[in-house]
Amino acid sequence: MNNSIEKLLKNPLSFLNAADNSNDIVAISSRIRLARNLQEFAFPVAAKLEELQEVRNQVDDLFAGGKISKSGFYRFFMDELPELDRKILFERRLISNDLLENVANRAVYISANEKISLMVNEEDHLRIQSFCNGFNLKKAYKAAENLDNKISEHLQYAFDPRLGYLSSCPSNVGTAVRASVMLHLVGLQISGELDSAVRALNKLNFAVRGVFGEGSSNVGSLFQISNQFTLGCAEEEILEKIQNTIEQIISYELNAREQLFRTKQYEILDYIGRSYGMLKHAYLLENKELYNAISGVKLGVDMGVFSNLNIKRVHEIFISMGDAHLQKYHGAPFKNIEEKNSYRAALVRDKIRKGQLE
Amino acid sequence: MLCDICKKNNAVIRIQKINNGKNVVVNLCADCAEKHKAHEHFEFGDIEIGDILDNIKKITKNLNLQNVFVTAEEVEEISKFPDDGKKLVKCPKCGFTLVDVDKNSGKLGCSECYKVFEKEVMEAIENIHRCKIHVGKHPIALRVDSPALLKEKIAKLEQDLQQAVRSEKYEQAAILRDELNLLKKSRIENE
Repeated sequence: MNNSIEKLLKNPLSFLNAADNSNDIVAISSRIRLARNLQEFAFPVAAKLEELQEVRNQVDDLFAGGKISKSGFYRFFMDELPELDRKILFERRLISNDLLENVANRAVYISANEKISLMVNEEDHLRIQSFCNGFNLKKAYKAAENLDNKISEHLQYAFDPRLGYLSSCPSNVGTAVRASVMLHLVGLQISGELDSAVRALNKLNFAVRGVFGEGSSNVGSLFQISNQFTLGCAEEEILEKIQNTIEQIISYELNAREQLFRTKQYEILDYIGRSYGMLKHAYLLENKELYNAISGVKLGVDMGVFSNLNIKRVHEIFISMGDAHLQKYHGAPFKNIEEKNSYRAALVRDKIRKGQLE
Repeated sequence: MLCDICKKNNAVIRIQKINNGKNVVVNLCADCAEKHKAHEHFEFGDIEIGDILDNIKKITKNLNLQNVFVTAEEVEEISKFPDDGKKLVKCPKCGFTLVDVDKNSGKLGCSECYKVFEKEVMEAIENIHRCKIHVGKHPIALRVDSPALLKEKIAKLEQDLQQAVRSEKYEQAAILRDELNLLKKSRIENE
């Protein structure tokens, strides 16, 4: 099994090059998360250290013994990983905040193309995450289900015929499936219709969060929309419900963009132009500023203003320019925030100069 | 709540012990507590925990209850929830109490907790999901022929429904009837 962060970084984000859904412009990515617990042990919140160790050992035996997958999975034990490397995994959305902050007996297994990540001893014993480019929940679900079925052939899950999969938090009980899609809702945001869309989604039992997860304020007009109900519907039904809802939101977003171009053409072109200008010429770039500028540039690419830019390269920047990634490229901690922000700006200017966004 | 000894006055002190899974509870009014000299050692509303143990042992000895005692921690916990000694019931597998669940933002300690705290958990589940039954997939190892498992579930629910109607628990019967309809619907879809 591959255990090095360096190797992971050398094959960056290969899933972004996957052929699927390359025409989706509002949906950036889809994610399915399954929560599972082993029947034998207490859930992580109450378990003794020895129990958590045993959970980790049992899962590791499956991977080491080749029972799960013949092709390479990366394995990282959180308590053996330096903080910087954990932050990198967090920035790539491969681990959650829990595994970033707490390391004892926690682990993550990541598939070679970074499309699957299995967290061990997070809030539940097992958290399977499956990603897909663009808007394709079915595909993401199939991959997660595949891994889930393989594991359940060897390990006994905590399951009740009446309540379904037993999760640590009752809000996840039942199918324990959380489906979420990341959407670029720049049109709705600029036109001021976003708030009412969010309210409508909340009423339908969907959660809307900023891109940095729970409690984060919106950055770069990126939002994660996920289902809050996991019981009382079969897995396929949940996927269908969220699919239908997301399709509606996407159509509202496209309408909002079209409307803006018709009624506020110069304002929008100006917004797009200034965003590109910031990427091309800024000498100090905070992460948040970068996201906002990318949002404007992406709108430009989507609307055909920048016909030479490649949307995949633009997406890459979303993920690979976080603070931890920068420090890794730099090779050493930054002396101060200014040095870090100027390094980021330099990287971006360089990419544009070399035509790497095309 | 009336005093367990005189059965006349309102109880102001509760002593509870969980002994091998059985709850033993004693409620005392001020008079009876005084008779057993409890008041000399603590004040209501501002409990002096240190001296309580000896005194309570004397009280319970007089009341002929075997092995009833309360630790200082348990008294402190009881004093926080004067009307609900249930909060101290411990899950036999992981040791969690409802207090622990509260402290951990509603997370349960293990699969057994779902049974031990069934009432509270089902309430929470109904609030969050607005239904109480799983109709999705089962783990491979536990999978039997879907139609057979469904048939079993439906038969059990029908039994429960009849029982509820017979004992005139109509609200519960309505909930069971709704669950039954959900399951029957999914059986039709699976055929």
